[in-house]
Amino acid sequence: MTRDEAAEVVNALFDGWYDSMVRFAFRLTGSVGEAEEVVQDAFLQLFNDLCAGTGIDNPKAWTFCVVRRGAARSIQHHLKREVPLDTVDLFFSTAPLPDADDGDMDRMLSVLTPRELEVVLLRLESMKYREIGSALGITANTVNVLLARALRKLQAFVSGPERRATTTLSKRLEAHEIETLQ
Amino acid sequence: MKSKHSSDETLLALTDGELSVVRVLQTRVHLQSCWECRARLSRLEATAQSLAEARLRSNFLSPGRVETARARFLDKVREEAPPPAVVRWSSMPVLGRRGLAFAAAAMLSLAAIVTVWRQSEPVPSVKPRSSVTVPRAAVKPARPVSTPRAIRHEASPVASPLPHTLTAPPAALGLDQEVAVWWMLHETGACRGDEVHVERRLDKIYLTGIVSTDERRQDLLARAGALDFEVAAELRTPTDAPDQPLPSTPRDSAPAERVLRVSAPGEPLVREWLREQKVDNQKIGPRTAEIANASVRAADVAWTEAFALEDLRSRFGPGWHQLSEVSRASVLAMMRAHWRDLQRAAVRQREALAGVVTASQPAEGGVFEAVQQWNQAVQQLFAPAEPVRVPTPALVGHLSAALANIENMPGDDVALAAFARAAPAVSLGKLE
Repeated sequence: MTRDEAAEVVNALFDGWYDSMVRFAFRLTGSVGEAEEVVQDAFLQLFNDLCAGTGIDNPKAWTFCVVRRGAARSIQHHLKREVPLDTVDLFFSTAPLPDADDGDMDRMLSVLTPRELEVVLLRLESMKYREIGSALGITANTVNVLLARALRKLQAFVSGPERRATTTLSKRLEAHEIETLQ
Repeated sequence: MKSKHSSDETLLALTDGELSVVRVLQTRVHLQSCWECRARLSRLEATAQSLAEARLRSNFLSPGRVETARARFLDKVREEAPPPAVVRWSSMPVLGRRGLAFAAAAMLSLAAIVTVWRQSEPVPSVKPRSSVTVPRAAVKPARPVSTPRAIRHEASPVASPLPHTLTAPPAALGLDQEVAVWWMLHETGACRGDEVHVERRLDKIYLTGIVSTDERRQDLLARAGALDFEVAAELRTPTDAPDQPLPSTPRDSAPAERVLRVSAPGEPLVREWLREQKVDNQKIGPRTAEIANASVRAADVAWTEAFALEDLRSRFGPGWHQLSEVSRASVLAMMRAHWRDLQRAAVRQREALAGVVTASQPAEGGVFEAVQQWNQAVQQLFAPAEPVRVPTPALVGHLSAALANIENMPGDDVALAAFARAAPAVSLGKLE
């Protein structure tokens, strides 16, 4: 593939998926600046591989896969150096940092296992099961199962208070939530 | 017994459009008859919906960032040598041949951000970051930069021997490394009026801002790459992003050359003096403009130098006793250079306005205050942004006093030696 053609592919991905990839990487690393770095690196790798003639069936899934690896590496790198990742943001992020409002999303996602988290994040970016599968190296069926499991957990989380309100009176008595039966 | 209800997975796949046609029909038919499955389906959808809403709320990405990122990407691609062309069949869709045109347009119009990332220690990583580190390696200096002996600094101490104690602070950089970065700015001339900020953080020194030319930026990046510790740099040039306003600082108030205004109160003074000198009537106009521009320029230089001096004093004064000998020598050399340029600017100013400024008593205050006063007076005399309220003789008086103040400052070495002895407490203007 010529550099022109490779640039065309990368260009299309930039238009459609750059934001998604940064959001995905941000949820993994917790740093906007680092997320952007990781995505940049991934795009560059894609470009180089395309130029070198590597056959890539689905550039989108391929790039998500590279982004995911890059994010994991960056987390390890920072853990080793004991530097919190968000210090990177103080200097290199051009985006306004996610504010306190974001806690909502964070709290929701905190109930998931890493695998479920990744699947949910990618699904939130409107990816098909097959694409998610090839980005994470699992089958579409596994994606389906993980997603359903994640949604069940989230459901329990989201509807937590309401569900407690409907528990039987005997349970609520046990939990000392109410004093007596009237 | 196999449940005839649909599983969560099936329901989810149905809403996500991932079921085969046959199974879609089966599931739909079942849903029509089964309240329980319908309830589960709506719960799943509600959860997905609340998740999507939470994501929308936390959407922090601004629309313009894609373009910035794209420009950055193109910059990196351009920096890399084209790889050997191995043309092979690939299943990629070929969308057209607008690539080059697009690349050129984006490169012209958008900001370039270059990051120099340098490991101060070899990280024994299991997985080498081979392909991912390509862009960072690509901007590393190609040519070795000769660093003067005087500013070679020891590398910062590497990670503590007890990596598992979480309370141990990461290897911190010292003031000495900061001096080295300042020296780097000094050598490239970026300390004179460029908006470069040096910030020392836990494990890196961050260099951000705007430098005046691309050559200087390249020079800085190359030098930063040659240092013994990590410097992260994000430097732009004014041409990178013409849309973005430069940060407004006091230094911006004095551009090198101002269009001479008719209402500038200093102009009549200069004309009068030129007439007294029997200058040809034809030449009085151009000579006046010349003198005014020279004055504004001199005041601008002085302001920049005073700013640099004040920066150095406030940064390294408090920690003077922690600095190594080499660093102290570097700081003093930098201050000496700035001080010399400042005095030269004062001489030039006095020469330009020989007929206007008078002998005067020095003003109160240190160098910084004097230069501030000088700059303000020249601005109001020759390049006022708005009608000047201060009477002209008073302005001339301020200017004369400020110049006298700088001229009467002790000789540079004396002042700087005093700085070296007692940096924390004193301001440079009162060193004797």
